[in-house]
Amino acid sequence: MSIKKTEIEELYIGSYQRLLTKARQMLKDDDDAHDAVSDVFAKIAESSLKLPKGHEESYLMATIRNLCIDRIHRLTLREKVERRLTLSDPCMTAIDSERERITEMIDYAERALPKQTWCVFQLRFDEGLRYQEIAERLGISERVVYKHLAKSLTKLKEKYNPKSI
Amino acid sequence: MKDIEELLKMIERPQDYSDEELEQLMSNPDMRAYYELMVKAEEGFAQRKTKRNTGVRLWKIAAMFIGIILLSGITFAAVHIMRSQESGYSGQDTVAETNSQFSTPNSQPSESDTIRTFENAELQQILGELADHYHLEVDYRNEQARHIRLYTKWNTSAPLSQMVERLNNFEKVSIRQKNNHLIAE
Repeated sequence: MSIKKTEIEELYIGSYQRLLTKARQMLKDDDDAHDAVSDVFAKIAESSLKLPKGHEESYLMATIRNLCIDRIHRLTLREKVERRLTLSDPCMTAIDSERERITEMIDYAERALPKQTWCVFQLRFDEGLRYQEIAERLGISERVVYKHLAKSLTKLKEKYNPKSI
Repeated sequence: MKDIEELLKMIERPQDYSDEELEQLMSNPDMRAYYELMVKAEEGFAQRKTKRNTGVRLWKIAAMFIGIILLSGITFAAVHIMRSQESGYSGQDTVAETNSQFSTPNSQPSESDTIRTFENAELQQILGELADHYHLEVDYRNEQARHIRLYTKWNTSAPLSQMVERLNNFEKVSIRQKNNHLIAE
């Protein structure tokens, strides 16, 4: 039995934003995220996706996650690097324990890094500033910015093996 | 250290590197590990922001509820004092009435409310039903007022004051409540 148009509309209104947020997190590209969410609803409309009654929302979330993983698998190395996506298995990116480990890693960086190094680290990975912008903001050379970042990454690698994060 | 610097440069300007150069750099396990750490660092900061925003939102919601409770408490106290002063007596009836005001603010009817519709009904019928419901007596200071015909709706869960106010919006109607009496003038 195919899903009614009104039911699709209700699902669309109720779930679109959450699906889009999830897709953005995973794909790190706005257009790609919109396309992925549109694909989900297109599959529902053409009845190739059967939603289990009472579990529509969780089923949709699992579907968008799988669609995003498929899309990531199809990206080239360059595209992944440009979007700053993991090069390891994207299936691992949404696991709760991994998310906790990542947060813990940032907390550790804040505690363990010297003040100036932490500041550079934060400006780069939190605020997303370019190296030149960080240098200007802190009144240091770009080369020193590289040194701080290299130092912070080395410190984190000693403590955290990225494969286990 | 020099390799990490190269990696950092590549991250910022991948367009300056050929596919082969990218492949070569990323085929080094150490460089790959550093790259992954950078990805995780960005994700970690994003998660922190989300957590903080969620925390702020929860606090705002909590503050809003506290505000509503405080405001309701103040309203309750104000209504209680005003009613006590107006009616000149205190006791169970007044408290019951103000409690009703407290629990049913002027708002849109909720699903549990019952809406009674009066269509071309005489005022005496409307006031009769109100009196029965709120345990009051009706005094007609103007007998003609009994036969004024109205179209109106009554939310039976709402406080009496709301309905009195609604009825008084009609040009010919003047209702007021005094103690346990509804007075139609």
